[in-house]
Amino acid sequence: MLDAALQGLWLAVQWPAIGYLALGILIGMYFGAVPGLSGLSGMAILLPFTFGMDPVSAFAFLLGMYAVTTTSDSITAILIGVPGTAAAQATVVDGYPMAKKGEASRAFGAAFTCSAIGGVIGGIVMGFSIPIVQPIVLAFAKPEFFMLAVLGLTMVGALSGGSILKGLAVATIGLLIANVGYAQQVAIPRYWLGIPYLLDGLPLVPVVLGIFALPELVSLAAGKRSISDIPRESVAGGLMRGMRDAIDHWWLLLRSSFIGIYIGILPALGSTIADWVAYGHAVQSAKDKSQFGKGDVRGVIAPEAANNSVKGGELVPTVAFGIPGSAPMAILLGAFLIQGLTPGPEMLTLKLDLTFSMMWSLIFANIVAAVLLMMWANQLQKIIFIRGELVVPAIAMFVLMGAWSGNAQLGDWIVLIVFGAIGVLMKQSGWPRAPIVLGFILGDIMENSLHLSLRAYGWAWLWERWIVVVLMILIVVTVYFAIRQQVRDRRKATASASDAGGSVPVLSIAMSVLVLVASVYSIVGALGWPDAVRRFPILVGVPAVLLALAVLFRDIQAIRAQAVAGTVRGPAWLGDADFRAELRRSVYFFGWLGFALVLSVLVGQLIAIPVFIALFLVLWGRTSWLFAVIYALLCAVFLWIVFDQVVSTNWYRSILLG
Amino acid sequence: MRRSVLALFGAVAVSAIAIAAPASAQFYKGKTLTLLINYPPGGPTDIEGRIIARHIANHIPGAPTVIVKNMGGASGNLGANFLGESAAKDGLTLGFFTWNPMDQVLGSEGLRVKYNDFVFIAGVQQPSVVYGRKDIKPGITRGADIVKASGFRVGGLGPTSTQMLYAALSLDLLGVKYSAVAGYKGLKEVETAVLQNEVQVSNSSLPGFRASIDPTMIKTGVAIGYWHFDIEDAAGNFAPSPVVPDVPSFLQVYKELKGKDAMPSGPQWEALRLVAKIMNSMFRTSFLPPGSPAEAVKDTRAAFVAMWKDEAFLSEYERTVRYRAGLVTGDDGQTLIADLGKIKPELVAFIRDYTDKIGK
Repeated sequence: MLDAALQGLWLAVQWPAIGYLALGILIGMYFGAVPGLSGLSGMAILLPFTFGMDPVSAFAFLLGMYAVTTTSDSITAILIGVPGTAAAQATVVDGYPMAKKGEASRAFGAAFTCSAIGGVIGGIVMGFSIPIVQPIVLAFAKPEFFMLAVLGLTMVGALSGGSILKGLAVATIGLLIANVGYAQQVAIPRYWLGIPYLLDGLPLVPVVLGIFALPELVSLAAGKRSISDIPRESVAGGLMRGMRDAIDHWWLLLRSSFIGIYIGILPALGSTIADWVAYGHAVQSAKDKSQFGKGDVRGVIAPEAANNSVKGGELVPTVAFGIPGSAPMAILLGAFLIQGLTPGPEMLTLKLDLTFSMMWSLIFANIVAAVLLMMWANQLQKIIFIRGELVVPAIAMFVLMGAWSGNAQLGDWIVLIVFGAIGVLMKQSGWPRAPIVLGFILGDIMENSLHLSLRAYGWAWLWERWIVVVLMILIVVTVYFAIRQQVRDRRKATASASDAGGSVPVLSIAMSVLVLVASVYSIVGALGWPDAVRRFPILVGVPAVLLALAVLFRDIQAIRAQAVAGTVRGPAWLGDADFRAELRRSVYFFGWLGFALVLSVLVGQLIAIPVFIALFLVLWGRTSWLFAVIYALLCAVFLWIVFDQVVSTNWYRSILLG
Repeated sequence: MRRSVLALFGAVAVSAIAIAAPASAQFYKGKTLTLLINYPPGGPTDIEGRIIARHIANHIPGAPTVIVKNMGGASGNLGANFLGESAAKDGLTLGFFTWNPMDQVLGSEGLRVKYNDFVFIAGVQQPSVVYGRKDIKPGITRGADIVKASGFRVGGLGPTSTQMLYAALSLDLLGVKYSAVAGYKGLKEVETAVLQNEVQVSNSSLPGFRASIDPTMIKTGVAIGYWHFDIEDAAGNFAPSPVVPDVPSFLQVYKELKGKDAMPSGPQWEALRLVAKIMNSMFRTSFLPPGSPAEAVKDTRAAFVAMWKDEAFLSEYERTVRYRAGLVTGDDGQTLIADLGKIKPELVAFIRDYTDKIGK
């Protein structure tokens, strides 16, 4: 085997393979860094270019690109709170607060180091585990998938916020919104409100950007400050500090890398989930959890290691069995077809050297990208000290285009704005946002695995399959420890009503009511459907109702406690004056987004977005017209080059200009 | 009189040539033809579509620029709806689809257009193969052995997918007892389930059979091909497909079990015939929007015919799908598709009932 590994190295460094690898790395860094583009879109766009290449070059090109998107995607996740790709969602949770504390460089140092190390570990494990991994892949059938998803969701739901009840309630809502659109079993549309757009289900990227990115954008626009709350002069700790953080937490780094690999090996999960599970693990295993969500570097280390190592894992079933480890891997299977290669036993015998060349491509790409990004980090991080209103238009452009580039439908923007509003509400009222997104991602997988498990095994899979039983025990243990932790925390801080979370219980009540209405609606709507279609919504809806009622009860208690203490009265129900001013400005900002949408309908996005940017800068940011026009023109050129020439976006066909 | 008739004839002929020939030669000159693919990039539909996109311009007079746009979603229905409802009828948007005609037959809400309203340009044949594990008790060494087995599970995509119907109907016709597990997300997922012994029998299109089932399951001794469906010609005669010599045809298996003159009949058979006829002969389909210019229809139909004689294209296509795929063009395909609009209500009712049972 070592022989083949060396032959693989020799293949990987040959010209032109090494040249294509370098090109792939540069393209991948770019696709990772621009929100809305991702390894998936990169894979799809680059695939046709491999028609004429030899196999080693083709895979070096594709894997070089794919390996590094999850290194560069932390740039925007940390700097502006917008995940560069879906795999950086968990990085936002602590990475962005680090930037707010002025520690963007430190976060970069940790993120790039962990990405590189995680990616290299993933590559090595991939190369040497392919021949022995068959039992793991074959042991994870549908029942195991279902239970694994429940475990992942429980971890993130119970651990990602101050309140277990809120975390789990939000997780169930995530599962329920995944049910919108055609049911998988029988072509019955669910919860589509008579809107044909919803028949296809809610789109992932606009939902994620709405929940995570828009609220940050809103507070940046509404808050009259730069991303960093601290002036540049008083920032301590830079890139080196972050690298040292990574080394200090080497054990977490290693565990997270293996979590990533393992999730990658399981078919169809992939990096969108690996980062969350690693994040959940980091929180769960930490002694002092108080800083998570407020800029704990461990919250960057874990997901960043996992979302790079996952790719080595994904390659394992892809190469060994032709079973794609994730959506981009399904496209990579297309490259096998184009090359006339057959994934499976052949890749482990006759073509073992080619398989190892893939390992080397992964390793080189991860190291090169991290080194390059380290060199640029100090330039990049300057953005966090710029006045908020000046960066908002550019970020808004990324968010809008990110939401658009998946399906290219107007509904994508409406979904973005609606979930943005929900995201703002959740953020302001102390509800954790991570579980809703993970629930949304896992909803389909869970419903599908549950249905197929029941079809294939009846209920017996719950006790007859030992992996399922082990996973169930882990779920119970997770919940037990989370509750114990919370009870201890509460004893420490008896005075504050920690379950109310945010400072404004009235907003939290609004959210509880929303959750309650949604879950009741989902149950009532499901009653008339056939069993296979209504089972999952009801199974999730019932606990959702109970959790929502429990949170509501606690919120009301919190308000009564405040009322008794006499701390709130009159308009102060909605927080203090500053808070209310920010809330008002948030509402105005949504008005601006609505304006961008209407203008796009009228004259098309290539005109509307720059016009929106210029007007916003002048009217909101109080800049000069000259500055605003130059800024908008630069954005227009960027839009045209990146989204029209490079990826040929399907632009909206406007009413006035066609 | 004769002279004038001749003159008139000549004038008509000349003007016909003057209008038709140069107009046709000019139609796509300097224009951009968009190939609209109804699945996302990277899947089999996309890969095959892109090979066609790379070659088709060489066979269209005026050599247009050809670009590819993907519009995936709703099992391919989003792209079909777009072609029928929103795409300009200027001959510049050509659909290349993996279609699900059952959505039309069963009146699914997701499909808002009718395939028989489109202008049919070409269809690519792709036989499908039922395969399964060898270790189903009491042991399967060839397809016909399955009638001795019972209590095994058949995996497939959604209950209304032609893929699921195909496997279920053929097993029912043989009188085999099995349970259906419908709802896997893709053929790859079903293959994994067969490998995991979660389900034991399924079916796949020939490219999938050759490219992944053969190396991971057949060569390793886990599974064998049970049968493929016979090709039905225009006169209603059946014959084994020449591109799957290694797997018997369904009727061969049927006759072996039920006697050499036996022939299946009844609604299950009619439903199976319908599925097989549509999907075997036209697994991938190419359409122009209803009401597209006649020159565009003529040029694109001719382009597919010429492309299917072009060795450079064929060898590239064959390398991807792993067999020499046949082509259905022009009027033949239009006739087949027109039948979609004329299916007897009893048969539709039967299929709806049948798929409901699978989905329960």
